[in-house]
Amino acid sequence: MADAYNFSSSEYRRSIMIQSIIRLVVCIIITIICLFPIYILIINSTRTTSEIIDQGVSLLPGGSLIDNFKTLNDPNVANGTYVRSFQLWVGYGNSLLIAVSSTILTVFFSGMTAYGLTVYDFKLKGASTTFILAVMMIPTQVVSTGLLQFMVQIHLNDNYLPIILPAVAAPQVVFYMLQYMKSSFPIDIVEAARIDGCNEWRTFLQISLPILKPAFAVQAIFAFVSSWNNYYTPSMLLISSKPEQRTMPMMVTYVLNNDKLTNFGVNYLVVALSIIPVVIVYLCLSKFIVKGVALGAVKG
Amino acid sequence: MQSAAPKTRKMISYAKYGYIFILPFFLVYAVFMIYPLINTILLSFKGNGPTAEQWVGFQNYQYILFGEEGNRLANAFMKSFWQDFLNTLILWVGNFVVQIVLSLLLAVWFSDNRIKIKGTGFFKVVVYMPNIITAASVASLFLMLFGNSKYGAINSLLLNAGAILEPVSFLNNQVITRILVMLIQSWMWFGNTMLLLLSGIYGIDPSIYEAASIDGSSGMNTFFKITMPILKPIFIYVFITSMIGGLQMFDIPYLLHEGNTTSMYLETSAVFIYKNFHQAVPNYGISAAASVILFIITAVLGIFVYKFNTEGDNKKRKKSK
Amino acid sequence: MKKRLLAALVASAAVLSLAGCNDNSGAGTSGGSSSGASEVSKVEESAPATDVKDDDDTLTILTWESNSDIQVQKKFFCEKTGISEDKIKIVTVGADGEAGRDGIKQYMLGSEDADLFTMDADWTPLYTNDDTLTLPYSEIGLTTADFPDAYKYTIDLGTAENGIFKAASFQATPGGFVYRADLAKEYLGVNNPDEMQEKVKDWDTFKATAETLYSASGNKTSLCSTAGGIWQVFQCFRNQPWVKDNKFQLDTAEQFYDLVTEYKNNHYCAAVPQWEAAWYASIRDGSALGDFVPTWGLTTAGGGSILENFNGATAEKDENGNLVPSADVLAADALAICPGPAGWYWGGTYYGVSSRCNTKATAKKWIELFCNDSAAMKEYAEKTGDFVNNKPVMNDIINAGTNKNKYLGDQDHFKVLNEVANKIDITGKVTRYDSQCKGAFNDSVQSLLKGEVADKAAAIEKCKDDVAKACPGVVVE
Repeated sequence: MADAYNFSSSEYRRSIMIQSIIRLVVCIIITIICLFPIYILIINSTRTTSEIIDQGVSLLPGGSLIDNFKTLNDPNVANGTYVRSFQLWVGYGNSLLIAVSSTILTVFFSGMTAYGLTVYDFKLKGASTTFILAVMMIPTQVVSTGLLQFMVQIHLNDNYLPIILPAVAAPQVVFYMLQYMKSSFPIDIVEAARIDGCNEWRTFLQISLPILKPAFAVQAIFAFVSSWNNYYTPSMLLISSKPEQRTMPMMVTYVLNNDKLTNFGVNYLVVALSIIPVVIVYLCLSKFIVKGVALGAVKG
Repeated sequence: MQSAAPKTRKMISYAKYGYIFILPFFLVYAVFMIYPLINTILLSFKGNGPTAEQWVGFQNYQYILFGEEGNRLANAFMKSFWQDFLNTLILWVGNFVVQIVLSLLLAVWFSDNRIKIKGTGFFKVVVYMPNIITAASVASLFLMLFGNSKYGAINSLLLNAGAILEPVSFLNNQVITRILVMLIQSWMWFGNTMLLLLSGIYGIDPSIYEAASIDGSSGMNTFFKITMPILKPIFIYVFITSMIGGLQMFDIPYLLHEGNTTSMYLETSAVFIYKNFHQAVPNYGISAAASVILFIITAVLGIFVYKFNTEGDNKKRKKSK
Repeated sequence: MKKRLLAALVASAAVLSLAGCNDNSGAGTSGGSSSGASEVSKVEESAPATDVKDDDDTLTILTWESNSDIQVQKKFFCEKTGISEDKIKIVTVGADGEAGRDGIKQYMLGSEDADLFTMDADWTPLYTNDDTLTLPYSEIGLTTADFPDAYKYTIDLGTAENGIFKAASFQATPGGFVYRADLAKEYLGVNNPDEMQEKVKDWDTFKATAETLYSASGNKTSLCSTAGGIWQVFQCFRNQPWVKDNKFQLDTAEQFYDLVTEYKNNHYCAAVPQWEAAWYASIRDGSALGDFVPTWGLTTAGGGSILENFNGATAEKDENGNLVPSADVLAADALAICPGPAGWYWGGTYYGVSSRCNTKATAKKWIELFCNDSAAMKEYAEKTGDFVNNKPVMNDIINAGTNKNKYLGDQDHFKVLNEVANKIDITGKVTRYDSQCKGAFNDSVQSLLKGEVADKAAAIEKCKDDVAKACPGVVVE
């Protein structure tokens, strides 16, 4: 147990330093592996199609970023297909609207559901938990057609509602919150709050939510990213694909899947542009994780 | 050491709040998902292609699971279903091991207060980056690197260095292409898993660590005796969700190929479902039946893992009392 | 930190009220809720008429995004007929042709307006043979006799199995063999496209030339870049339909397994994948002499067509908006085109009349303008560079000698393509199963080339299994 004390302090410090250096090196290697493909993506968006075709992968940027951007916005290129298919700000706006509202809904209601299942005791508690676990395991692809048929029947196709609202019921996130609370939520705090005269809502919103912040931050990132990148559901439900309703992944797919648009430089630029907002949102939210908001602070 | 787990609860009069808190979830789920779910189950008992409206009983299930003697169609479905299921298992296991080891290692390192790594904040942010790009872009980037022809980046590198004489067909090789998918999947998801674990570790009451360090517990010891047991629910979560994700693995195996055909070695169960569902004349029945089977397999495994672990907890708790 | 949390809570509260409102909307009527996310829905709900009246005068055309022709056509149509642009509504139901195939069906689940479909050649027979989706042209007052100038094969493709005419195309989509003229001269002593055609006029000569070329170039240059290109040509070469009397038959396709294996093993074909950078690179660095390219791959509009990428021109522009080729383009006359070994086509867009068509007069006008009106078609061809589906018009253009392709050394590619188009013969060979059979066959060929299946026999087995799965109801073997 107390073997740490057997080291002379300099020996101990040295071993710590060596280990720390080894870890640093491993982390640097992992960083390179993580960033390499993204780096290539960005580099390619600064190159011309000819450069990409003739020279393959390059580590140095080309000089055509601005030209590629101009091509993307030039109504004379390819009968204006780029301009029509890819409207950057519309895509940003729509995708942000969908992703932000889905994220808030997912995180908040999943937290609420898990809280209900953890803190309270009621008859259907076990059954409800099992149900949530079970529906989490349903393969989504086939179910999606039923959803489309249903939405067409009640005229909710070409509408954001069936894209955003189902975010309230995210079984996987509920499951995570449940497990998280199991490991790190001090139930006694609820009792304490009640004694202090807090009603149930206030206990949840003002006392429990802050404790769950790390869990919320993590799931918010995941929810935002997956909603932002979701091509399948919006493209299925927005069946008329009205230009003003299109999301970013739809636009990206429209450009990439077009046999007549094989301007690689521009196409890489399109992909690069589509990930910028996710990176920004991620960097903002990741503060919670990086700082490691600890539970003790609130508890004290 | 189970201090964080609930011990005593007094919840006599609060039951109705339980229902109120979980109501939105069930309401929304009922509105949007019940119809599609029932629809899927019904479809699995109906025909395929031109006979999509006909009621065929358990025929789809029989075709997929057992085939039928002398019936090419039935046997073709059976062959590909089982082959695809096997592919799925192989790809998932490989991906799971790499992903868990890597993310656990990093989560421990990043949360280690004794041996600090410079720039931890930066690394924490970076490891999640691969997850923010869509699978389609990821696949196309890796195709560029591992292209079969001499134009693939790795091939051209090796050719120029004189390491090989002919370009290597990475994507046509059963072993290489599967390993590639495992690694890409791990690459995409290990940051995600790492963050989950890390958030769990940060949720642990620091006073527990303080107590441990006062007791003179070493880093390893602290991890195995304190962190691991408290993190167990999160581990179960990671394990089960990774299992679900693995059994339903779709994008990368579906997209990682040159030309317009999915690689036979990479065709997963989800690809099977998708293909039957999205072909020119869809096989709704087969596709739905395969979904139901996949769901049952996932659910059985998932509930087993969950119950097995929670039961262990309950027993321990009883004993300690 | 606190502020941010507060903001999140406020947002959550707003969302909570939204969920409350939506209990109603889910149960029955949509709209009616009044918060952030559903504002969009309200606008969308009120705008389009969901119950269509018979006197609806808006022509609604369902298409997919990558069919950019339709936007040009809309403008063109309105200019010619004086019909206002808001009377023509283009609805995009998917990203590409294949997504369009499923998207139109899904759109048709609802009850919104739909008058015309654009249909990809690949799945046109699937739609023309489905009466729940498409109407016969006779319903809008058109018959095959109204399209005397069309290329024969487009009429065959637009005719359902029961002989009812249901789809016409504004374009014909034959292709040719685009090759490196400079390398052909160096290795084969070929001086012009006519001489080149002699070297690739049928499959035997094609193979012999490939052999000569490979050794003459010092084992460097294959005759063709992609197996996919060869397949596009070969698939038009059949004696029998894919499915006859409800039975699947491989027919001539069986030969293709041997042919393509031989081509690959002997480097007659460089076997790079289509659409990847490697495809274009193989032509540009002389690893392959050429490949088969259809009409729509030969455009010079700057979007990065196949030909533009072979040449290396990217869409850079000077101050006047003219395309400026970048530094490393091939010489203007480095590429040329010849007809190749057979008549073949690749893709093409057809117009189908929706079973819900309620704007028949305008629909008829549209089809007539683009598929039969010679004057308009000529203007359209000259304006867009497309190969229109009208033999006299194409002959006029060819005879006038005005069409010059700047990336083919000013060669008139229409002349070559016209020759190919006239050779295409698919009469009696169009079935609703074509796209599925071709897909299954193509998959098995690729499996063979990749080594996923051991030999030709196994590849045939795989093909048959896949056909069985893709066409339930068809007897296989």
